Amino acid sequence: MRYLDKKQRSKIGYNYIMEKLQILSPYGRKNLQNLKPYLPGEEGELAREHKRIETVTDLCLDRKLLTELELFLMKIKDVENTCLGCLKGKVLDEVELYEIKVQCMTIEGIRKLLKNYSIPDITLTPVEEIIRLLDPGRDGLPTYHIYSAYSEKLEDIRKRKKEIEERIYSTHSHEETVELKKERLTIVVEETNEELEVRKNLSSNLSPLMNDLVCNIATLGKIDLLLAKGKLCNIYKLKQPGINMKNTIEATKLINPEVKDMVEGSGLEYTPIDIKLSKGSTIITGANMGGKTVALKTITLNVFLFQMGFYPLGEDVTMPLFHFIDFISDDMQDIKKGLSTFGAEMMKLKEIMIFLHRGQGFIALDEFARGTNPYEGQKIAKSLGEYLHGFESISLMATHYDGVVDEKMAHYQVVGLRDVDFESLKRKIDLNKRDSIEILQKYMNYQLERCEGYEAPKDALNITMLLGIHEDFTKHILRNYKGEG
Amino acid sequence: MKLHKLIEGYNTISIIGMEKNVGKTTVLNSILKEVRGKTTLGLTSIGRDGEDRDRVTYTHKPKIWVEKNTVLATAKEALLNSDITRDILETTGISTPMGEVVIVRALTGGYVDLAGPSISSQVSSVRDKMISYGADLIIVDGALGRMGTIYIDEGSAAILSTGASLASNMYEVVEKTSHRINLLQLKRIDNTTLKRYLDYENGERVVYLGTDNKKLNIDSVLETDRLIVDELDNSHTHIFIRGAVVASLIERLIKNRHKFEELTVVATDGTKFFIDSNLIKKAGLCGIKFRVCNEIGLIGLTCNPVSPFGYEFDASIFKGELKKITQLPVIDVIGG
Repeated sequence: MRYLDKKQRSKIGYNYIMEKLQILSPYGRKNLQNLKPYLPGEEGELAREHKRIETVTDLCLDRKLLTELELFLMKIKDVENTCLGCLKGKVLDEVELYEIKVQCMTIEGIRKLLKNYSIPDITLTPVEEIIRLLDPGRDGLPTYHIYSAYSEKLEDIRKRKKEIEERIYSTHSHEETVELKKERLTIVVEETNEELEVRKNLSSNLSPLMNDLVCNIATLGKIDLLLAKGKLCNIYKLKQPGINMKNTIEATKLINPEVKDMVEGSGLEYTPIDIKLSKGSTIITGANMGGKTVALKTITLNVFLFQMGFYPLGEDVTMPLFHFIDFISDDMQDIKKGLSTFGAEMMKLKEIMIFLHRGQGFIALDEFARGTNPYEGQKIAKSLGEYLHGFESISLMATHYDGVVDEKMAHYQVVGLRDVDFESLKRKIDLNKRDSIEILQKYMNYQLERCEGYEAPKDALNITMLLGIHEDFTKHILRNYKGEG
Repeated sequence: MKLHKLIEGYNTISIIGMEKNVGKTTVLNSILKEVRGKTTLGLTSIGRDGEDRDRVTYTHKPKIWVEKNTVLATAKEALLNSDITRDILETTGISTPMGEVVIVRALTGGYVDLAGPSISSQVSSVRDKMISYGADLIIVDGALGRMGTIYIDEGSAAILSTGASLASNMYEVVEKTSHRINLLQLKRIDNTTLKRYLDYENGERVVYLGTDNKKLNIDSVLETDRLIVDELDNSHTHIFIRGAVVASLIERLIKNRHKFEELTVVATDGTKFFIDSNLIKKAGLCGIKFRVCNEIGLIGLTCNPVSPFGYEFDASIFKGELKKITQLPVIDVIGG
């Protein structure tokens, strides 16, 4: 898929957010299921969507209004097929007529609530005419029956039905009851026939009005999804992002809710990410356990959210629309099909290269060529960095190989353990060996920092030492480091 | 005794039939007739009932006659079969093989076809809705052997219907009925054990309690007897079963009686047991006791001496024999 496949979407934390969205109606759910990414060239439309989200986000701050809207949306049932049937000339039954009446009353309710808000391109067409047809007595009740007011004949039949019913109740003779019930049966048949006539008339009167209702159904779906987006904006205090045509991404305090909730759930502090990316390759290096993968997922998630018409989860975000978005990591599905990690990465890369020549995309690569031998792996990763740098697409590579970055490419580092007082941290871990991983995570600085140098940090040794691996082994490592130096 | 006297003071009555054609619908109609004009009734069934013709035996079945203002919860298709003039109050979103369950108010009297939700929890939600639409007394037409059989809550009670259609030999009918009453009146497990169970369980089908507790989550308790018995060990004193307790399970427990000295099998309620009286006795001799989590509150027995298969019992002898087996009031729905 050009914009991440299902598995990738779930992996970067997109599904986590979608599940958290408070969609309340079947139309909203349908709308979400059929959500399509905005394509390059549709920036104007995306801007209008942003405007809509802004309006709705404001509206969501009015708790009373929001609750009323939500109550209406929760009551909605899917009557689209009934409407389409009526349009095609089907005679509706009384339950269908009830559902249409109730839905139209809901629509009028929502229309009234929203009358002071102008949401661009969102208008509910009045359906008072439909309600008038389904509420001939103008009693305004959300119930329905084939009212006697529809036909004098029906009124007369029902009068007779009532009379015979009273006679049935007042008689004590079994034979008479049987006779009366026989008589009643003929009246019931008359009633059913006349009700059918009424329903036929009513359905044909409703038919031309059904187009309005079908349009409203689509609009209700949009309103539901917009409200969910608005609530999301309020939860994360999101601001309207900028749309740029310059092929650069700028963002501060980007977050990934799935990771954030997990980190905070285990009592640790979550670090948002600041980043600036332009066309060509950007390399992220950093310590093991330093959250390079999380950084990649967070950025990809937000690029994708933006493309799908959501506000990215960050402050001061501007980005363009891409022709494609992809994410290569070593736990791709192809591995299950028998390809090695490296083989799977290469197959995926082959696919991406086709897109690379066709348009501007966003590609995230997590530890590319990690699965092959480090000597070749480093060269392949470096070559890929150089190769991707020649394209209009934005490529973001996380690697722990040294020497992948060159002077032309942007380089980010996860701060990692750089600023930590190593000795004091080691003492802390020594004192509480069982929690070594948690302590290490607590002191690890997950922030991304733009850096001028080209070297990857060498935190692996530090981490080995901190985690309390046997000293003899550490000595061996140190000896080998010196040998190289 | 009149039926309406029997049900006085309860807000929900389930009518359970021993079998098809035991006159359950007649019982229902009698209640409807007796409370006419005094109470607003809410009416639903667990699963389907009230067909023109019984689907299994093709015998004539009286439809249910309701009075004006009765609130009904029935599937759409069944509603469209009914001949009352009605106001639709709500569509519930509960689907059944006969369409969605719809709640209506009868604007005239007439015959209705009941096909309510088939799961107890849905019956409960439909019951609450009917009460919110003004029903004072809810009647649930239930049947043994359906997925959900009965509504149990505070203020609820049940009536068992038996009749000649059960067997052509009257004493056989009486014995079967007696056995069923014993099952339906099984005692509730003691509060301490029940609390231990409720604190421990999390919707599992099978829970073992003892010095060591264990949960077993399987899709259905039918045909998994072996698994249930295999997982039992001598630390367990109670097995709680959510779903049907069938003969094959009890037989297997008896075969494996080296695994326990005393064992209590606990079902959700008395309608969940499908074991004959001989097996119950045999199990008792092997140290197996039976208990329930909820007592159904059986308040009466109705009998129908006429079988649709062309024979009938002597009404007064039949009633007399039934009275011998139970303290419950016995009401002949045909003869009074």
